Amino acid sequence: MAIPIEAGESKKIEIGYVISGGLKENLHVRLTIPTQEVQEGSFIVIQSGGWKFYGIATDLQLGSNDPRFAEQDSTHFLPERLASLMRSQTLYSTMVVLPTLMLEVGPSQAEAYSAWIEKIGSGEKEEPWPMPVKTLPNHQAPAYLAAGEDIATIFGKPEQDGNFPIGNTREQEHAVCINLDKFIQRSSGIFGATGTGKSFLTRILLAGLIDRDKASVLVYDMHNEYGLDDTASDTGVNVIGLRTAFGRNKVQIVGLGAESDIRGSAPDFNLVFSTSDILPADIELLARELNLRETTSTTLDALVQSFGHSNWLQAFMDMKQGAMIEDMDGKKTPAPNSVAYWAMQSGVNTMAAEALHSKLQRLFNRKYIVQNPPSNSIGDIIEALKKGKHVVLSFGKYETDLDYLLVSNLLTRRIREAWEEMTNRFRSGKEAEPRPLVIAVEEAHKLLNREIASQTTFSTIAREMRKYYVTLLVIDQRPSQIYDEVMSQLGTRICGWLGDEDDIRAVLSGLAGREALRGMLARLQPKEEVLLLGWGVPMPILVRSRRYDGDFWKSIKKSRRQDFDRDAAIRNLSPD
Amino acid sequence: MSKIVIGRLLRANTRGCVAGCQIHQPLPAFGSMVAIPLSNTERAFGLISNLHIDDDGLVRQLAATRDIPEEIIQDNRLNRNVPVELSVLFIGYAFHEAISHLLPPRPPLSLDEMNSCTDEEICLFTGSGRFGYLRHILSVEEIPAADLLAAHFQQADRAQRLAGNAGWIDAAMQAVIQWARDDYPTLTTLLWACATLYAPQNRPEGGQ
Amino acid sequence: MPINYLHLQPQIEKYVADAQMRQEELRDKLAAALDLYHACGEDPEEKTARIRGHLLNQSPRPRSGIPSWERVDWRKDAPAEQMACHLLASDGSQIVPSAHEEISLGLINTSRISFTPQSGMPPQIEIESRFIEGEDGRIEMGELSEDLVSLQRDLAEIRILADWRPQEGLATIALGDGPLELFHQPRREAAFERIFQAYRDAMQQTIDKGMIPAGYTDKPRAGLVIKMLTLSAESKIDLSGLEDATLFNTLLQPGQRSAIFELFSPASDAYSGNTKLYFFYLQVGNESHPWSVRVEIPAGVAHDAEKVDLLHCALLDQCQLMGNRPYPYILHRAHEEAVIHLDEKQDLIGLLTATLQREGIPIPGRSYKQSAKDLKTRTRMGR
Repeated sequence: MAIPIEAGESKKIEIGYVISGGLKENLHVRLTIPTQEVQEGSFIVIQSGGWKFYGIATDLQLGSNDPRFAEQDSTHFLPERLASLMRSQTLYSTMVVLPTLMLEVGPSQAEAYSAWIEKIGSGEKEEPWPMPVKTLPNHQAPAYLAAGEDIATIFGKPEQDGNFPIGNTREQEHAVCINLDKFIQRSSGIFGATGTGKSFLTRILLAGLIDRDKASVLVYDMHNEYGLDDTASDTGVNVIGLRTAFGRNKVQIVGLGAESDIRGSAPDFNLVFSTSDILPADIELLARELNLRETTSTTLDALVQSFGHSNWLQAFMDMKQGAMIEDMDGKKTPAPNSVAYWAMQSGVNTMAAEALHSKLQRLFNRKYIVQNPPSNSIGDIIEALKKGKHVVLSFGKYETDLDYLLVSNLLTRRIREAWEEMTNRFRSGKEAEPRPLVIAVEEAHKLLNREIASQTTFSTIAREMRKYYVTLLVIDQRPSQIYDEVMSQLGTRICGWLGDEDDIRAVLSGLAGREALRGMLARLQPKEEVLLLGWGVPMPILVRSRRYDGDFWKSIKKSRRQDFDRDAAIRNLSPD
Repeated sequence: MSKIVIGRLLRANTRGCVAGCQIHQPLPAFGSMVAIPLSNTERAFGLISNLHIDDDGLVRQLAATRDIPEEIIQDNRLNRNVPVELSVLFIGYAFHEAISHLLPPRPPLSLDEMNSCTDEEICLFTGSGRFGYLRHILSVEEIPAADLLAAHFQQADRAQRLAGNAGWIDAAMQAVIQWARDDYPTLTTLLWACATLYAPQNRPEGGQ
Repeated sequence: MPINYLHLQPQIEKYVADAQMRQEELRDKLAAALDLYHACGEDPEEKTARIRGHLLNQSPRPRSGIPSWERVDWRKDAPAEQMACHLLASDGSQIVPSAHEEISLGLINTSRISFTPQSGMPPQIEIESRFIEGEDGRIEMGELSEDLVSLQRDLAEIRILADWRPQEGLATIALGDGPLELFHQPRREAAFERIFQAYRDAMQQTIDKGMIPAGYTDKPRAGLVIKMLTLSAESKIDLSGLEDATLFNTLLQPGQRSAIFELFSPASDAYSGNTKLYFFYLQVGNESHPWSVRVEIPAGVAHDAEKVDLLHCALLDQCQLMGNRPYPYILHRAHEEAVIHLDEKQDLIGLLTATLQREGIPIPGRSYKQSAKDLKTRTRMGR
């Protein structure tokens, strides 16, 4: 059994002691408790020489003083009690700990400790803060399972402004917070194979962002999950939507297309694009979806030259393909409103122009693209976001990749332009600081894969837009399909179980201790267990994510009240 | 404390001694603890590590005959000048009542009395410190250390249990295992020898 | 190499050849002796008279047996029943004073062992150790002859037996190692005479106490009965070299004893009355390895058939204990207890020397000759 040791204000559970290791090769801790009491991913604290070293268990290994002790069943020749004594001394478990942070906690001797505290108080010494590990604990330094105060020291206290409990530690169920202020400073990602609860985790995180009002949120809700109530596919339980939870004043649902509805409910307003909103680049982005040829860009250039940036699409849409007229001599020639006619007039290959026209028919048929929309819905969305509202863009019946690519990119480009402008005005002192915006992108690999990432606005946002107060929340099941450069920019990564080695590698790209973390990712529980990683969290940690249920919403509502009950909130984190 | 004289010292060195005793007194058991006063304030503790009963030509000749009368057997056991020699392995000493698990500072002298230890002495010695004295037993080479250890544990466990320390044997076994855990053959030999200590008939209170 | 084996080699061959010849001669003599033995049985009185006549006419007096009341060719089986008795045995050893030692030391060490067979009780052992005293009652520190010391030892051996107080109702056999006859040739010196008298007194004492004193000779070399047979012959016959034991090894079955014979010797007249000495031979061996021993007994025992039977039975019983090397166990134990080992002698000399030195009495020291003799032999490095 683990031995609780009274130390400071809370009980620490000593689980072993350091036997070897290094900064490069991790620390090895000989366990003094049954192996099953520690699991991979446990948050471990090692105390040594006035320092606390924080790390996570990345591996557990069975060892023996002699292989024969392990190979032979000693109960065959020894009484059970004696065999048990022998096993306890000759068979052991070693825990591999990836050390990440260290924090000076002062000398253990009371007098020296007081002097140390005084120095900090007088400013003679800098207040200690968790810093990346630069040295090692001593041999035989005791290792503990992290206590609540350790978690709070590193990940912050739930009651502190900006801290949002994302889940709790697996063994002792201490709340683990994400600092939302930091979270929104860089793009982030939620990854996990299908069925690992990405959507629920996203809802939790979005609810946190909306609740704490740290940023405006725009959700590209490709499958119409987030805004309104839904039914969980696996349990059949009703899942509360963000709009239901926060109300129309905070969350607005935008439907794509003039007459869109989301599972029978009308959106708050509709998003309809004008043909003038669409640029040739938006078309080129759809090259794979529309199977466009290499000549497309030439043709599009000619169209812009012929009809201008605002009218080229409408003009192209208006052209007829194959329209012919007979001249006086009875000879058939392309009609003036035909594609061929324009092509000949513009020196463009007729067949290429006709092929493009033909392929863009899928686009021309989209009812959310009209010549003269009844309102400036893009502007409305931007305006709502600027005002601190949150928008869930439901794609309704337009669930194809084509729609998703076109709409999200188009809208995002416009948002980016708006935020860049706001930022520039803010920097020139003409306007207040822009409100941070988080754009949640589902199935992100469709927008951020290697082929098109450079062409979309998303990669730009991922790389640069934190300067302009816009960041992405990338949600995907195939992170390996996302462009490396984008992945490397993700600050906070929240990752559920991944089966594919490439996906795991992608999630861990650019992080220290990748090798140690890889195994952990592969062995996460398929549901509710996630690994928090990256710049946005002080250190990698495995957490059991909060449940997106009635209790969650109760705690959210409570947290909104002035008299925030911290203890109850922590209690509500418990799965039961 | 210990006043049952079981023999007198014949020869000694730093690690042990040999005492002689007559057969007409009850022989101490192999592995039992003995004490030998070194001075008014010091006494050495040891374990009976060997009992030698030498033969001679007459005994060999008698052994080959049938139906040896009892009086001849008694004559050879009691009268003939072939004392039983008891080898003792030193395991520590006491200065007043302070127990040390180091070897005695000096060996006892010829004809010093050797006494069997009382249960109180056994408890005092074996319960002191952290079983440091076991290394003297475990590192001995000339005699079967496993059997000596088991015999000693049997006596000490009984004394400790009488004193209410039922957990002593587990702690002692832990110390042994810790000492020999890198040497599989040695440790298994030691544990095999000690296995009987854990047999139900040897743990009457049913404890572990 | 102190022995010149090159010289010895031819002599060894001669030794073997001579031994073979001697064996053949003895075989013939044995056959003749057997004839005489049986002849003696047929006409005992005439033969006894002839023997006595020859013996009394010879000078010096030879050592011989004389037929007793038992027929010469009579042999007695071991008594069927084991009879209860108490056994005593004594033996002694001595330190003979030597001028070569640091101090001159004469010591007699005597043991007495006693036990009751089938009692289950261990034997009781007594040891007496005494410095030899002179005429004046002072401890002897000068040189003493080995004979005199041996005589003192013999006296001590029989005295320790005579001192025993027998249990009532249980016969006590008192065994000594060797002949009962103290010495074979009478000595003239007064010291010898006094010791001899004391010896006879002690023997008388054992007889008076009802004990059964006996002298046990394990490997008798004498030809007392052979001599007797020679004298019984009508014509002169040469049986020299033939030993009684050889004769009785042929005649006696395991456990049997011979007839009792009177002991005739130069000194036999000194033993009179019930200390007069008799002897018989006893077969303690088995059929494949016969081993005849001579048992000497005084007249007080010899004339009591029951006592002789008791002795006969007890000796066989004691010899049986020692397995294939029959010898009375109790005698062996008496010897074992009495013997003074060299290291004990050295310890005693050391103790005396130290005591003398403490008292400031000068110690002469060992002779250089003895010191040289005691030099250690070669040793090997590491041993």
